[in-house]
This record gives sequence, C-alpha cells and structure tokens, in this order.
Amino acid sequence: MSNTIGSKIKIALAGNPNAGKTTIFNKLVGAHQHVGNYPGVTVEKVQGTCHHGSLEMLITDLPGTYSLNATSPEEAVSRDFLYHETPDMIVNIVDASNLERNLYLTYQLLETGVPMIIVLNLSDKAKEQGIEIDDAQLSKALNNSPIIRTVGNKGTGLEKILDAIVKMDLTPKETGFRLDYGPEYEQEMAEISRRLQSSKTVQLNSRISERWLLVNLLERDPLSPKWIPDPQIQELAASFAHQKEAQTGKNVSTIFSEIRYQTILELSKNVVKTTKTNAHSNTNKIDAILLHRFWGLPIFLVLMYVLFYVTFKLGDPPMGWIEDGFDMLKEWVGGFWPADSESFLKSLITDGIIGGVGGVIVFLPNIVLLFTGIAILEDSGYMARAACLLDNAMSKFGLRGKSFIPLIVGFGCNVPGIIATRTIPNRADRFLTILILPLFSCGARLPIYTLIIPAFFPEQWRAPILFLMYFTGVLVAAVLAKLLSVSLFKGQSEPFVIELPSYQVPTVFGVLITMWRRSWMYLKKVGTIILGVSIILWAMAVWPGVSDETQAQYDKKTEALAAAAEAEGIDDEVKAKAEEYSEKLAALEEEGLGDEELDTAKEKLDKEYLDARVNRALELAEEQTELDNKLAAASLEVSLMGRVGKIMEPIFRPCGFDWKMDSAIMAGLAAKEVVVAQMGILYSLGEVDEESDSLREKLAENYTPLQGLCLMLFCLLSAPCFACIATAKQEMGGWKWAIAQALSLTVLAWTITTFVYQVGSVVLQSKNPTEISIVIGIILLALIWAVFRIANKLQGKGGCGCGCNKCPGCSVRKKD
Amino acid sequence: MKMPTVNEDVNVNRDDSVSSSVKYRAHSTLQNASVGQRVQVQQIISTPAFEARLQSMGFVPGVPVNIVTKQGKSMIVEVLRSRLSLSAEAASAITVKVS
Repeated sequence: MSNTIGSKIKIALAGNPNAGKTTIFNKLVGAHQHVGNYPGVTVEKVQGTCHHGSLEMLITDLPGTYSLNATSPEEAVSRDFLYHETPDMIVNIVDASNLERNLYLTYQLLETGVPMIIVLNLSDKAKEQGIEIDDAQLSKALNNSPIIRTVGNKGTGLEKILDAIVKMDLTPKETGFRLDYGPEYEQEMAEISRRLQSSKTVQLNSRISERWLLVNLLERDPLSPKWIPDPQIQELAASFAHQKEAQTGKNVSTIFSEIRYQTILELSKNVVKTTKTNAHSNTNKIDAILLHRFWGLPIFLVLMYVLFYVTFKLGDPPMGWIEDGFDMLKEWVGGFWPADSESFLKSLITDGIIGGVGGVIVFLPNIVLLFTGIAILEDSGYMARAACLLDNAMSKFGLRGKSFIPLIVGFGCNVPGIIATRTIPNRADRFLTILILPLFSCGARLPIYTLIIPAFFPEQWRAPILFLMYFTGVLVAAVLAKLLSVSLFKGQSEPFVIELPSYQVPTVFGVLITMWRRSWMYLKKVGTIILGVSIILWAMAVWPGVSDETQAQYDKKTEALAAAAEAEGIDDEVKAKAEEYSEKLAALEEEGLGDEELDTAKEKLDKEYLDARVNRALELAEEQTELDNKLAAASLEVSLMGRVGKIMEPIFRPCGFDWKMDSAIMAGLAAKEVVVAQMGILYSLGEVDEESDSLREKLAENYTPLQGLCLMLFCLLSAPCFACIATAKQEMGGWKWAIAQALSLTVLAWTITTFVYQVGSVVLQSKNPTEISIVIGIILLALIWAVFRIANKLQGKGGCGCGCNKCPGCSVRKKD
Repeated sequence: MKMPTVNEDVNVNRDDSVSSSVKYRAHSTLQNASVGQRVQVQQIISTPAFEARLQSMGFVPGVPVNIVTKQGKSMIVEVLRSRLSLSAEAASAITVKVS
C-alpha cells in the first residue's frame, strides 16, 4: 500500500552526531522549521514541514546520538519521542565513511520496530576514502529497509529520500526485526513476554515493539520501569540480570552491546570493502598542526581573539543604529502626548517598555556575530579540537574542556554563555559551568567599572583595577568550581571523550540556520522576560510618586520661573534660539576638536547666539532642569525602589553601601548597566551614561574610593540580571537551581564585599596601608592555594582502590 | 602525573563492597598503550553511564583500537573508522590487550 493522498505523516530524523543529519534536515524543510524544547529538558526540538507530491510530512530532527541508551538528555528525548509521539517512520542518517559505528544506533532503531529508511550520507567522502558498500546486501541484513545514497551538503539524493518516504509501506508487520541475543536471554524474554500478556498494569504502545522494551528491561535501562510498570515483572527481570552478571562478570547491557557489535563486524566483513589504507591522512595532517603540543594552544587563542575582535568590532555600528532606532521610536511614540505631559501611560510605554526591550535588543548584533562565528567553528570540526586542547587545563578546576567556550562567551553576555553550555553532554559538568558562569564579568558590567574607576582612582591605577575586577571574577569562579566539583557534584563528572570529525568547509546555509535558531531563542526568551521585568522595575521606580505638597511646591516654582521669563520678555523665539544654542554647543563638544580649536569655535558660536535675553533664557532653563531633577530624585526616594533601598540599608551597611547604592543594585537586577542610570537619577542629574563627569564628581564627593571598589565588587559577584537567572532556570530545568544560584552568589558577594570593606577600612587608617594590603593579598592567595590542595585530597578519597587516587570518573561501576 | 603500571598477571580484588563474587583481573589500560600499537578492547571499568557512552562510541570488548597520537595526557585513537580523543581518565577506564 502506498501512502494515501492528503495524509500528513510524522517522520523522525535520527542519526549519529557528525553524520550530516542537520544538513539534510535543513535542505529538506528549508525555512519551514521552528525550534522549541522537549518538555522538561533543554534539548532543542526542531521540527519542520515538507511537501512531496500530495504528501505532507512533519519532520522532527532528533538530537544526534550514538545510541538509544538513556544516559544523556539527548538519548532520553530521542527515545521518549519514539515512544510517546509515535512517528510513522524513522529516516536514519548514516555516515557512510563510518558505517560500523553508525550501525550500532541503526540496529537499536531497527529493534524499536518503527519502519525505517536508511540514508547513506557522505557517500562521496566514503568513496574518497576507498570505502565500498554493497547496498543490496546491507539492506537485506537490515530488515530490507530501503537504502538511499546522498551527499547532504551538495543536496544530491534528497529527492530519492522523499520518493522513498512516499513509497514506504507503513502497514504494521507481524514479525519485526529481531537480533538474536542467545538462547538463555531469548528464553527469558519469551517468559517475560508471556507474563506481560496476562499483566493488567502494562499497556504497551502499539508502534514500539514489545521485544525492544524487553531488551531495555533486561539491560536495566533507567527508563524501562516507566514503560513496564509491573513490579513483579521488573523483579523477575532484575533477578535474572543479577544472576547473569554474577555468572559472567559483565552487565547485561555490555553483553548485548557486544552482540550488536559482533553482528556489525560480521556484517561489515561481507558488505564493506576498503581499498585504501590510512583514510584519515588529511585530517591527520591538519590535526598535527591544530592539536600540536606547543602550537595548538596559541593557535586556539589567536582564533578566539579573532572571534571576539570581529564580534565586538563589527557589532559596534549596528548597535549604534539599534540604539538610535529605539530613541527615535521613543520620541515618535512620545509625540502622541503633549510635550510636557506627565502621563503615566507615556512613561510606561516609552521608558518602561521601549527602553527595557531596546536595552536587550541592542546586544543582538554582538550575539548574532558571536553565534555565527561559533557555528562556523563547529561546522568546520574545530570546536571538538578546542575542547580537547583545553580539557587538561580546565580539569584542574573541576571543569571540562567543553566548558571553555560557554565561559568565554560569558564575557560578552552571560545569557548566550549559559545557552552555549548545551554542548556539554554530562549533567554535572553542565550545571557546574552554568553555576559559575555569572562570575565571568559580562559586557553590561563594564559601564559600571568605567563610571566608577575614573571617579575615584588616579590615571595610573585605572587599567590595573579594571583588570583586577575581571581577574577577581575568574579567580572566585575557579575556587567555586573546584569546591563544587568535590562536594555537590563529587564523582559525577565524566571523563572526557569526544569524536574528532573530519574537517570540512562549513556551508553558508548551515551556519546561518544554526545562528538563526540560537539567536531566535535568545530573542524570544529574553525578550519576553525582560519586557515583564522592565515594566515591574519601572513601576517600582515611579510609584507611588511624590506627595501633593512636594508636587505643589514644584508647580509653584515652575510657574514662578515661567512668569519670570514672561516678565523679562523672553518669548518663544528667544527660547528656541537658546535651545538651538545648547544643541550646537553639545554637538561641538562631541566633535573631538583640540582645545584651542574648540575655544575659537565656541567663541564664534557665542557671538552668533548670545545676547542678554538668550543668556537669561539659558539661566532659567537650567534652573528648570535643576527643579525637574530634584523632583525626580524626590520621587525616587519615596518610590517603592527607594523604600526597598532604605529597608535594605542595614543589611548592606557592612559592605559600605547607603540606600542609594542599594536601590541601584536592585535596579541592576534588570540589567547591570542600569546601575549607572539609577545612580544618575538618585543624584538628580537626569539621564546620565558611564561617561558622565558630573556624576563622577558627585560620587567622589559622597563616597570613598573603598566604597566605590566595593560597589563594583558587589555588582560583579552578586546575582546576575533577571534575563540571566531566567536562562539559568531554563537550562537547569527548574527555578530551584536558578534561585539557589542567585541567592548563593548574592550571599557570596555580600561576604566578600563586607570582608573587603571592613578590612579595607582598618588598613586604610593604618600607617602603611600599601604594605599591609600586599601582605593580605599574599595571605589570601596562599589560602586559595590551600583550598585547592584540600579539595584535591577530598577528591582522591573513595576511589576504586587501584591506588592512583585520581579517579572521580574511574570509580568502579556499581553493581547494586 | 605518574600512571601506575599494573602487572597483567596479578589478580586484584578491586573493591570488596562492590561485588564479592566478581574478581577483576587487572589489565593494562588504553592509557598505557603506545603510539602505533593496535590493541583490542577488553573491558570498561567505570560508572554504568560512562560505560554505556563508551560502548555506544565503539569501545566494546573485542573491537580493535588504533593509537594515533598521544598529546600530553590525552590521546587520539581510531575506533571503527572514527577518530576519538580521550583524556587520561577516560583512557584509564578501558582495559585492553595487545592484538
């Protein structure tokens, strides 16, 4: 029976990593795809639709896996998908140049009983390497599944896949594919099968073969109790497996994989002919350079430098355009209200919504460029090498080579950094990386440093202190990672093993699609969260507003100023002239002229515009601005944000903060750069940015350099912004983790800042503060060293007893 | 870090509490194999999850492994036509015999 006209069939695209699965998916569905998440986990669920003839297909791109054993999130979702969403067929993408390893998953997929088409992809590469495959024999051995040859990146053979899908026979077969596991196991499975028939608690999914579930049961797959929830049957299977393990000294799962591989090796003898030796010669040559003992790391660092340079250099101009665009939008929307309107709605839309969302979207160019660069490195095959190069160094801090890229991305923005941890397969390694990632000082914290450092520190100290901030973050992250790896995640980390795919030239289409998928997730998630939080923070800053009395005083003074202007004959024309003068003066100062040139230009401008009336108009305008700023500050002081700041004052007094700093830190939860703006409002300076000298003067008047340092330190170490917390929640699969992370980071920040402030205050009063600081610094570094030593000792305990004591990942397998 | 070299003929009872009935034979691990050598996987001694991962990547008893290079503590091997990089820890979890 061929597939009926007009029906929509569900297809699961499965295959090993690096088999070219995603390329084929992209070619099949083009832009008709969307990305979501599998329920409960962070693995991306990519689906797309495709038409061929009159047949409509819904294709799901399953994550690339080596097997269906549910030991990683990717494998678990692949299996869940096959079991729950019951695809009509599987299209299995097999790397023809690596047939034997790919056949392992192929056999498991066959055993599930879902009809399958086998696609021998990369067949050009196989030919190049002198690998010849007998399709007819292979098909015969694999339950007569149709076999199609393709070259995914050239698009050849794709039509044939679609034709085969249309022709595929989807009627359920009585006898499915069976791999013979030997008489004892077969007998046991037959026995359990008999019991299953009479068991009332188990209802098997119709499409997945019962036999495959029995295989899982005997392999003691962690998910199998979910599918066969009958405790008696489980017990039966477990006791049988125990008995077999005692007899053979091997797990049943090991025995079964041995049988699968034996079958594969036997099959490959008949089906595969190799005419060339040393198939990997080109890859070997490139690896000899890129993985060189001495040059490998420097080459990697240069590549990273180029990646970040390009990201921030090319990203700068579009960031400016986006900023300008949002400013224009604000102005345009604001134009619907009268010029001096105090409307709450206006403020909500322009400052709250447009300002908040704009603040996030402005990072988009950087993120798009960074993701493009990373996609190129991934598709070329280099990323696997980078992870390899760094694993040794990173393992000293309890991390893995694969953690490096996410951490580096974190310097740009923590959010895509956390998303990038998806490439880490082991849960403990991935969580550990996410937990310490906010300590990598992101781009949004830089404005805080560039505001505060020049306010308090002389020229020669500025660069070292900036470096000190980044270094402190990394140092605290390293210590924390080490401590977590020997406590919370003890023994859960997995030894490092990675496939090194052959190098290839990335395709533009593939890179763009990968980049777009990630950027879109960033936009969608962060955009919605930021929108909500912006509105809340905006409301907290304006509500409940100043008392009527204050407002009345303000109105009275404003009126008095207006009356004075009128009395002195300052009409609209003069005001317009004064305004024009101010604008031109500001423009002049931005031009970056030399001192002398600037002075002459100013003089010229003064001559052109200034007369007594214009001068007076300028004075009055300045008074008005001062009034406005005072009102804003008064409003903020009584606002929820200000009140919360005041409530928090006793908590943060040990850190050296006053309520203004507290409320700035609070606002920093929306986005770290908001701290600068908030300080500006609190000091009645209107809108300021990190280059504002007037704000620096105010800060220097009101705080000590130590307080400035402590504020920076706290902003660096405490809870990251909401977008980051929400992303962490998404990636770790629960608020529990994200909130615990945010709270512990804040407590850590409080402790360190308090220590610095209290000790710093005492030291500064002493006779020779510099020497004492150096001594304290040395003692701290020695302490950190000691912590590492103790942590290493802790790690060594409880190993497998082989005597090497280096073995979090080499612990003897548990045999219950 | 010095990797302990284990004598192939000595019986080592790895951990009594884990399984009293199973005595593991200590073998040379993949980590001890040298470049250019062809060896066969014998056993994987690790957690079930990592054992399953190694198996799915081709490290199954009887499968030949070709050691391509060693770089510092990590090594590159060829297993069933694919190239894999392993850290010292991972390579130590795989016992092999010279074929």
